[in-house]
Amino acid sequence: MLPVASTAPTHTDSAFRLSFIGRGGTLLGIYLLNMVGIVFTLGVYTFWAKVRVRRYLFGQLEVAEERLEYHGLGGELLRGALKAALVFGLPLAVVRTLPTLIDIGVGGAVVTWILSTLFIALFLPVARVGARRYRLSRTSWRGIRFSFRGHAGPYLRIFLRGWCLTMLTLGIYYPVYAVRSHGYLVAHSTFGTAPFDFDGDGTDLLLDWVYALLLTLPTFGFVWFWFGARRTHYLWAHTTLAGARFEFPVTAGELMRLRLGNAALLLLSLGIAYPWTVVRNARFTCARLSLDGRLDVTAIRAAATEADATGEGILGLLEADLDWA
Amino acid sequence: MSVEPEAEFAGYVLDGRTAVVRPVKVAVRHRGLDVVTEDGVARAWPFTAIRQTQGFRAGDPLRFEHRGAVMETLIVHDRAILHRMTANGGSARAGRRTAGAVVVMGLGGIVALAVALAAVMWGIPAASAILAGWVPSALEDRLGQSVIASLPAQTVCRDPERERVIRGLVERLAAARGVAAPTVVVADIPVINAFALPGRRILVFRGLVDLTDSPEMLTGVLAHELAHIVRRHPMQGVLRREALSFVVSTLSAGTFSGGAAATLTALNYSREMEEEADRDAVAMLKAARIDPIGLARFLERMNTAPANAPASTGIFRYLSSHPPARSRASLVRELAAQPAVPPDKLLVGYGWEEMRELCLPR
Repeated sequence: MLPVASTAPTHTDSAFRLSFIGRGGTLLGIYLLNMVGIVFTLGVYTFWAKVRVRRYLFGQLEVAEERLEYHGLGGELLRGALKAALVFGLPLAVVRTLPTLIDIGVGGAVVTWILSTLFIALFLPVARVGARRYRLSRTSWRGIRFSFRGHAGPYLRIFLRGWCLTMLTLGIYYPVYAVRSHGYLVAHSTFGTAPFDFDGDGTDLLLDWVYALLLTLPTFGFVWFWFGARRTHYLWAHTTLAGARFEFPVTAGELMRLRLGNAALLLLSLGIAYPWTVVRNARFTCARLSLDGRLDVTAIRAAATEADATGEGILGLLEADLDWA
Repeated sequence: MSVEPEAEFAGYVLDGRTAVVRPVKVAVRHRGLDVVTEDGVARAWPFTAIRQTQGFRAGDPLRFEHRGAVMETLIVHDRAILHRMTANGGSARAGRRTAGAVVVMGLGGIVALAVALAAVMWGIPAASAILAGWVPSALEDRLGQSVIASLPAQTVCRDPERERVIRGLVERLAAARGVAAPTVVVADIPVINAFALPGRRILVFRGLVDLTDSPEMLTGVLAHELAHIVRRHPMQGVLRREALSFVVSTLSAGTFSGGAAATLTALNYSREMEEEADRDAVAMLKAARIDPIGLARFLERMNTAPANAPASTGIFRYLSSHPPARSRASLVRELAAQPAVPPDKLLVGYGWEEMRELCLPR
């Protein structure tokens, strides 16, 4: 008889470490097979292709010796995309094509442009909230699902207020808006019964943001690696899970090496090396991110919520859909 | 299938209710697993309720989901369990595509490609022919206008006197056919070509005007383009282009917009459309008492023009959507003769050579 527990994770709860085991070559194989599937099914396979990539990436990410798992289904994403096309894509297409169908003059064209911009501005936050709710509800660690309990209304208010103040302050307010928007999404996320929280408000980044804006030309833009490192560190340092705080020590030099290395890989390989850049990004994050402090895993219970993929579908129509996000 | 002796593996279970890891022993039995916890409680997981969700690549731990009131997960590192499960009536690749599913997917793909091909070859032309009749004339007019507007201003030839002569020719044709006269725009481009555009517009390149030696030749070409307009071929071409762009974009998952391929097909009408336009043109010319032989002579001259000769020979003959100019000229001569209508001589006393100065800077 084998001894029980010989393969069970043996971490201590005081330091959760992450590691990414995935390989660029395997990911490239998945992308190539996906491409064949998409072509053969006239694009319908896109949703199952997305699920394959997410399953691989999540399944290769170890948190305290236990892998994440992605539970989303291609059919769910397809249904979400169809709903999104109906409630968002179709009305937007009508508003956008109206000026080409009937002669509505310059005034009419301006009105339809404003209408379509407002339509997108209203739907973008709704889509982000919906997409986060769906993705977290389909992600688990140790058999416990993540969830998002925020609502579109408050997030929409942050979004509209943030953009108005950003425009009024000629962009100065942007980091405060970005941090508050991020904070809302984090603070309303949970892992089972364990809540995430975010205690930053972004004003701490204002001065750094202004420095970065002023030094863009003298530093040929390299100052943004410094700001990127500051922002990433700030966002994680203000994030907690059931009281335990995340840490992400990163320097501008490290971020620069990662980004420039990725850019060089993509340029030299004419884009074929994209899967390797995904792996590099994941390993970079895993090597630095840790959860420090006491987290009583045994006290965490399942508390799943329902979600559909409509927000994900709208987001797919609006902006580049990231495999990780 | 022979049943192998029972085997045991170490693993751990996640119960789906808490984040606690529970070490277990797993025994592979006939048609199921026995999962035994540390306190000795054994539970049977039949293969029919188990799905493998991770561990499809060497080195990855095997992960099995057990569907019950709550989803439980079993993780085993020893890949030998897969062999044992198969030997005991389980599916080692549970949760993955079976060979049958791959065949169905392959066949589905071939059927989908065949459907797409049929849509491109027959469905899109047929649908665009029907839909072209429903497009509002205001939209058609805007499309044609946008093509003309896209030409550099200095390219459009401006000569009120000679433009009036051309307008007179096209108005005579339109009156004979009983339709409104289209607008003719001549572009200073040294290529032998002319296009019928949506919105009752004809775009003629200077190279074509230079090739003509009589008003009958140019009027023949204008009659051919007017026939395309009357049959709404330009709008059909635009609709075909949009539909083809959509198909190419879908097939390539957005990698290609279909722009280049679709534009090529939109600019080239089908052989049937060209023949229809030639037949209509001859009828129109006869009704206007203009000699259709002018069109035949133009086609013969175009056939021998250096830049156009290859298109009618060898492989180009089959790639081109236009019927070869020589056979088109024969058809026009044949139609002109049955029955022949005595034509009026056009622009008597007008020196046609002057028409070549249409695009000279003023």
